Amino acid sequence: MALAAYAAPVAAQEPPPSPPRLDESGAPPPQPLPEVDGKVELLFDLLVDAEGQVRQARLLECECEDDRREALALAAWEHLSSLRFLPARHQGRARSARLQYRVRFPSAHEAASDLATTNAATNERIRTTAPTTPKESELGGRGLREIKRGKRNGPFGAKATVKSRIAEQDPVSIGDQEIELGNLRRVPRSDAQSLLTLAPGILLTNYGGVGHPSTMYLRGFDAAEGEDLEMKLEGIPLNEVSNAHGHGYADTLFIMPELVRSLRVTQGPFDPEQGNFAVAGSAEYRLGLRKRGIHVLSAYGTYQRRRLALWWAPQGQSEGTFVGVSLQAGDGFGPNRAFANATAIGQYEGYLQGKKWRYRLLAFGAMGRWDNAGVLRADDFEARRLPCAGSQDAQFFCTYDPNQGGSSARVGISPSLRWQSANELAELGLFGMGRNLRVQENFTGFLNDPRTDGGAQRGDNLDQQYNATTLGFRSRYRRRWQWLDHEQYTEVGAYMRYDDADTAIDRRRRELNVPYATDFRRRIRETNVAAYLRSDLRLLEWFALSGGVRADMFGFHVRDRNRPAEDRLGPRLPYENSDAYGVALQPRGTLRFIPRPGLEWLVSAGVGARSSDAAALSQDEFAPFTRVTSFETGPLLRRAGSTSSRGIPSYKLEARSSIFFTRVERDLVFDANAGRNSLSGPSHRSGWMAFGRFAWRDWFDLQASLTYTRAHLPPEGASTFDLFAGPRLPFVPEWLARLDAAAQKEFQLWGQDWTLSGALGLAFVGRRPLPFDQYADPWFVVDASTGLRWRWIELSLIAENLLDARYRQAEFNYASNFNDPSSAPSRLPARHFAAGPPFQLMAQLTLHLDFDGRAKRPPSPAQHREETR
Amino acid sequence: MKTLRQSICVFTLLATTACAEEAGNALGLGGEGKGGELVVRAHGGKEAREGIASSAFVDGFAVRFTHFVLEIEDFVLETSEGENASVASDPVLVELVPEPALLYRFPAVATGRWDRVSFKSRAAVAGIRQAAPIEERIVTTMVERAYSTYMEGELSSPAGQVYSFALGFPVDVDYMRCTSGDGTSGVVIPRNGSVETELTWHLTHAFFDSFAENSSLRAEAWAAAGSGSVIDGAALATQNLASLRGLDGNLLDDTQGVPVIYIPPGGANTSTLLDFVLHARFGHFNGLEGFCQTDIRIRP
Amino acid sequence: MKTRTTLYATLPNPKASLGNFLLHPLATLGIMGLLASCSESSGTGGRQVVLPLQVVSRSEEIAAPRITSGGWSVQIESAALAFGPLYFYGPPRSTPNTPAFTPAPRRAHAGDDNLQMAPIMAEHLSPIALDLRAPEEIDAGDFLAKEGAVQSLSIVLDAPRANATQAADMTRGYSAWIAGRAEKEGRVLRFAGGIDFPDTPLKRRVDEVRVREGATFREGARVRLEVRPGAWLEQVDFDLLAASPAPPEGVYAIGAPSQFWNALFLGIRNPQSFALSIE
Repeated sequence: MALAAYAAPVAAQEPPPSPPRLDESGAPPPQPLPEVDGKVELLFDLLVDAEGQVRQARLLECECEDDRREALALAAWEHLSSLRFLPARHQGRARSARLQYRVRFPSAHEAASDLATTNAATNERIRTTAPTTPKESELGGRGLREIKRGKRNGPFGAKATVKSRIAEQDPVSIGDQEIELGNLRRVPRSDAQSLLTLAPGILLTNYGGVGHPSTMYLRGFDAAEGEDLEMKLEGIPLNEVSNAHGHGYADTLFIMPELVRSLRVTQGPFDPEQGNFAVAGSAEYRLGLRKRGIHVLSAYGTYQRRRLALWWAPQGQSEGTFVGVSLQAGDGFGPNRAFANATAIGQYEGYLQGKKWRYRLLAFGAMGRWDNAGVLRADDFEARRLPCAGSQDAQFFCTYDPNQGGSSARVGISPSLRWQSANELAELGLFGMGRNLRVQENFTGFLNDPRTDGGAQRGDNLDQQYNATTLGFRSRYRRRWQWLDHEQYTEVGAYMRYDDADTAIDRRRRELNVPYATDFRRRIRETNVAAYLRSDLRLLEWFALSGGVRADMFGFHVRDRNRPAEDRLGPRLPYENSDAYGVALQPRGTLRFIPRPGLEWLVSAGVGARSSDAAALSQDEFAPFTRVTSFETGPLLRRAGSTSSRGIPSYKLEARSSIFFTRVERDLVFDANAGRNSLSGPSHRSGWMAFGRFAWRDWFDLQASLTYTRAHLPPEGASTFDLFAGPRLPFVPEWLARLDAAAQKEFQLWGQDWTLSGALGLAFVGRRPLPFDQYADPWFVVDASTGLRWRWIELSLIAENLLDARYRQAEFNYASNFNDPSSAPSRLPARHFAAGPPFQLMAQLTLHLDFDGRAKRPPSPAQHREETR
Repeated sequence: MKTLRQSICVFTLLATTACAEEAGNALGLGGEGKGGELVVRAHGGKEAREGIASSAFVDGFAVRFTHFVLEIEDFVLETSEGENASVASDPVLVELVPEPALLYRFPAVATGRWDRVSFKSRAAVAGIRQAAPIEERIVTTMVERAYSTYMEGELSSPAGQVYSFALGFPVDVDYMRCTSGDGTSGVVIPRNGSVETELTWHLTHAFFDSFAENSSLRAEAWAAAGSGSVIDGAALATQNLASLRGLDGNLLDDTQGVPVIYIPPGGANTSTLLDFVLHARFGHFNGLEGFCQTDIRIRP
Repeated sequence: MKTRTTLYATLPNPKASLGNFLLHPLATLGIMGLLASCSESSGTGGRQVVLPLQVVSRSEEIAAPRITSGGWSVQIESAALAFGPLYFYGPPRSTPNTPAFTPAPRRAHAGDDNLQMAPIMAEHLSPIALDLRAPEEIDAGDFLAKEGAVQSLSIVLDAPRANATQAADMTRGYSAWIAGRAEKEGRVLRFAGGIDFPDTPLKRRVDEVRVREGATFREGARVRLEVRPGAWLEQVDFDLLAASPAPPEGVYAIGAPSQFWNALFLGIRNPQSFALSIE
């Protein structure tokens, strides 16, 4: 590559300043990229040091597709780092200097020998710059532009900054992770919600059956089925407001795991974009299908579990274009656990004017029906009093009430539009959803029948119904600007959501399962309008500051349809309307210390809030919020090896650790005496987390995490910083460890290429604190899968709970009476549990039909070595 | 320079919004600040105005109240987090017959939900404020005999005979953690607005024959206790719960010929009809569907 | 040419000491976590203990004849009571939790069941049957209790269950059985019969059986429930009984409806018919 430069006449006494010159004798041309058609040119701003080495390369322009920018820039860096220059000289000394340099990758058909000439011609008119003193800046012609670098005239550490047109934000906290599934999707996980366990410190426990979301524990919170965790699908909010089953209930079970590209999990409320329910954090599912073609899956397993799935992604379309359909059913691993569900998701993603405009249309629909065995009293199990045939296992997996279960249906559509230029990015997304849910469960047996005539208890089977329509939009604008020689960002966002829901709970009689009383019946209309402002500022090379504020306003309208027909003054209408509103301001910020590229120390603080359940509000009430203040700090390390032509780095390493603390005001805590959530005053949740992930190309991927959490109810007058004051909250897991690993290997047999793959998931839950100063037993569950692929046929075996451990997945403490309804009821809180699933095995046949022949098999190790040479 | 100005603006905005609630209030968005008015009334329901019809009594009696006076004090608004609205509520005597009465008007109560509402009923004292003018003799009687509640009226038998009653209650009652009929706790004070809350006195409680749900209303034992005079506490004390007398002087039977029994609350040491009646707690909250936890002490 | 495998080179780090400083809380929390996880106590507060329950009759109250206010000398010849379950309550909590929302039951009266405010400390669900003329203590079995202060006891006067044959024999299938004679001025009335309580929770419950101030459930405590039948028949109008038609076999059968039944019902249901002590 030749570099043309223009020297300016200077005073006769001193040699003129000279820019760096490429030492062409040692400059190999860049290799063509097989995946790329036509030329690819990248324009860099280079910093060449006084030894003639390239120390810094900043990408200015890339005539390429957005999703290839990073890989191409990394490939270009491979070339640039091998270049040698004769350094710039000024006043007889070698100096570092900046210059613009264009790297051009030839197309496959161009001869490499033509490159030097071609590139020399291209670079003839490149401007160069060099550090000079003001008086000597005149060089004639195009001149040399002065650069004031302050203390930076000498050599300093190099970095390659690879930027797309406009960068998305950096992590707002150590607990903010964009988790690419990659090969870890092979680790057995039965549904999309289970993917959350890829983030450290998240425990899922299910007491409601397949089709009912699991209860989530993280950061010392019992987030229930979404009460404390904001859940989204491509920006579409999934938490359901004032759901009869639980305020914030979020069902992600309709998402096909095969279509999930990545998961962004943000633990803690540190990003101004996080909205309602982001008390313990947020999780967003991002869809995409990298492997194009048609994929057909058929599986059959123990307990009559069967699955048929079909998903396809047309060649020549982006990863964001795909369709998937899944049908599954099973008898369940014990009595009253049968299930059936179906889901369909499709998305089209297109571009206009190159990559300037991106449009997407996402649509989905799902239905499900399931039975639920419910919970068991520990004392009945230990005394073998349960109504199932006598073996230990029959007792462990027994059920009291066969009329438990549920059904769910949903449909949704979301168009979105994104526009971006060199320094701006704007997005607008609309969403609309319809939702039906019915959950029948019986926690207390025969205890809470409100009858007053002294008759026998009719039963506590609660029939919870929720039907809702949700409409809304989200929008954001992100702007890049320069200051202090760094790129700075300011972002603003707006959000609106409208829910129209009917919610009710009826009580059902044990005999004949007919409703006999209504606990409540309401229509709720709730509107949420929010806006946020954020700035991401890089103040120094090693220090950055991000922060912002979010404001949410809620309007509630409730129509209570279960009021009496008369009162003290006479007859009245059996309904009542009430309106309320609430406002929450939530500031959030992060300090980033970057001692070196790839290593950061983050300090994050933020306020999160959760809106009230509309049922608890009265007319004209200024709705209270559950408000949390969180803090987290720790290191983050990210490194990656060189990137192959297919954009796969030779290795990726990520390690992070943090301590975190949250103070919750007006906490809702389960009161065992009352049998329901009660306001209990503030609580403190704190802990420590360590996480690591290592991936070697796409052959091996290993991830491990360890988390320790505690939750306490501080006594009145305790300081905010007294983390462990007061009694401990039971059921919040203390130690959690998780390991996920996946590997694959190609080999030859009978003259054919085969690929063997395996995956392992280990979950350890340490002793969980229980009431009365007790601990629950720890449990350890192993999941594993193995697969063998020949051309387009893949056969897999998937095992869950490989060691067939018997463990109590969910534990509770409250009073119940599952004996004869006329017998003496127990009022003393007792321990209850839901059994974890036993060993289950599934055989799976998958056909990967790629008719263009390119993706028939994954690349061999030999191919990988070639690509990185 | 332009970008520097922009960034200073950004920093300033972030700094001022760091204290979210204060900033919200400053912007007029918060729930604190101006406060609202709370008006507390006492209401005797339709029984205070119209009495209790004979169709409501299993023994065919009817009741008309001429006076029902009660003492209320120590009206407290608190939250479950321990905050106190510090409303100044003096003791007040209020007549519920025939119209409801205003007990308190608290002009500037902090906005929000005060989910722990409590109040007390104690013996009337001399000089007590009267919500509306009350007959002097009633006030004097209540003060002298340390009554917290006093009622007068007439019973009408199925045969048309009228029996007068005048009964004072030397009891102290605490009403705590009141909830309304819709299940919400306490009261909500709106911002710069006014809200009314009501202590609903259910006057029929004096004539229930037990403290369980769906109890019956009876009055014959009252009428028989009077023996032709005004029925007062001393008269009711002559009726032994185990052997109640009817108007004919014999054991009181119901329409099926079953001896009537009044079943006292499970923790009450009661032997007479007076003991039984004194255990009655009349107060509801915001209508008959609302209720409070109660604690009662009967003074000897 | 060596392929660079790192994109980043090393810079001198002026802030390394800050990183060291911030690492200290990490280590502290980790060590505390390890130590805490080795502890046998989870820190959730409270403890459960198993306590024995002794039940006894104050039989001396009925061993000898008692004179009623009506001048009758009453001698109880046999008496038995079947009862249970028992619920023990602590003092009302000073800062009880407020429910965020409760489905509101419709009530006609002010609400009598104030036990919602008091935390339940223990329960004994097994039926108990007691021969009230026997002075011996009986062991009613162990029960699970929360350590802490106890204030009162509620006794539910459930009829003996079908499977509680011993109790049913003692009370002849009733909640209580009583037989004896009353004598006045040479007239002797013999009576016998059983009583069942109305099938409404509030009507068959004896509440507020108080224990002395400061009593607590704790390891090794002895819980003793005493039944005091002496005043059961205090309100019986034997003159009324004597005036009623003579029974065919000379024994007046006690049963609802009767004044005898009403008086016995009120007598048994009086909290002063029971005494609880915790030593």
